[in-house]
Amino acid sequence: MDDGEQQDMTVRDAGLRRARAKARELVKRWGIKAADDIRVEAIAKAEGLRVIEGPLRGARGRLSAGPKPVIRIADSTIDEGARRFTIAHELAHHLLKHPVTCPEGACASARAAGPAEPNQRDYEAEANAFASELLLPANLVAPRCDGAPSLEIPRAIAFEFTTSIPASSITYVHLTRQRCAAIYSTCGAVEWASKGRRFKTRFDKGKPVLRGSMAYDCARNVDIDDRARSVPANLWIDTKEDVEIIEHSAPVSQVGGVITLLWVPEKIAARLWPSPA
Amino acid sequence: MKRATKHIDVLEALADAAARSEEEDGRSTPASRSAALRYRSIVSDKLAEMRRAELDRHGPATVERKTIPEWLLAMPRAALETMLAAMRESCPSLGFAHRNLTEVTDDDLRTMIQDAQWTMGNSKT
Repeated sequence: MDDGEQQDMTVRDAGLRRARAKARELVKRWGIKAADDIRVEAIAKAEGLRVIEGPLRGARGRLSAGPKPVIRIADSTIDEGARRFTIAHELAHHLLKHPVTCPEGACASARAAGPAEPNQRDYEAEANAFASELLLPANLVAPRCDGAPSLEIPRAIAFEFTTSIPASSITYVHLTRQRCAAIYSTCGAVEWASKGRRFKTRFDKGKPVLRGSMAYDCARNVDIDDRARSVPANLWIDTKEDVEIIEHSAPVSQVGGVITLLWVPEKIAARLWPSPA
Repeated sequence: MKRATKHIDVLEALADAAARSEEEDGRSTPASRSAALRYRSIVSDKLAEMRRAELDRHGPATVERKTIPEWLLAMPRAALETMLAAMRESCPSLGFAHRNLTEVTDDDLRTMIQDAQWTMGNSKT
């Protein structure tokens, strides 16, 4: 990174970068060379944390910080990938020394509902970035990101690394060379979205999922062919161009949401996002 | 420093020294570069193996399943809040971070106390 990039980096971005670096440090520290080596419960124990599974209704996981830190994961979390992600997320709060002692008792999670503020640390995002990097190390996942984009790739990654399909989709869109975005929607509206650097459209939380998209049908349990297909670009991207992009959507079991992978092939990208003159 | 950690550090230092020596004095050839890559791969794999073995030495990782004890279930919310506040006062480093926090139910307060006891080292179980 040159000086210019360093100056442009926001406080939020710098925090995220440090979180990923800390996860890479752990990957090296514990000799992780393959998916099977990522034993997150063992790593948490070696780092001095006790992991407990039990009743927890108002959150998915919780770190009790202090002399002998404890991670609690909600016993309602059935998906193994989600359980591992929660352990890694809480481990991040511990290792990154996030503030947890303010009176309301949840400083590290305080920003969760609001929009991202570039000039403030985002502890929740940092913990998520750490967890993604630890469970899906870029050097191990990148070689699996080749080929025509579809949800089959994140699914294969999720299977190999025991992660959830949404988490694997996020990592995939950041590592693939193709112009891709991963979108998670619930109740017919975007809940969150993550995109690769070369995908130029943002998807804000709350944006409606339009009729005609595969995601729209998935949300209504319509019986559809589970494979990537062409859809009009304007279902997802604000454009007057009459072009098609590739969409692959599928329901996320047990959670009630829909995960969508969008791919804009190169020849279409120039029409959707013309370079500034 | 534990013996295994010391061994790893020595191996790393040797690899660094070899790389520096090559960089400063050596005239590399395709054969030496290929040998260097092989050496690096061997050292890296060996280090990783030692580190994984070190992880095993911490014992089997278990996720303990716990229920809320009866004495906590009997306490109303106000009493739970008072108890948690007292614990925080006696242990200023005690704190909590949640993932996807939506609310703190009465049972969540109970498990906060339960976890806080373990965190503070005040519970045998």
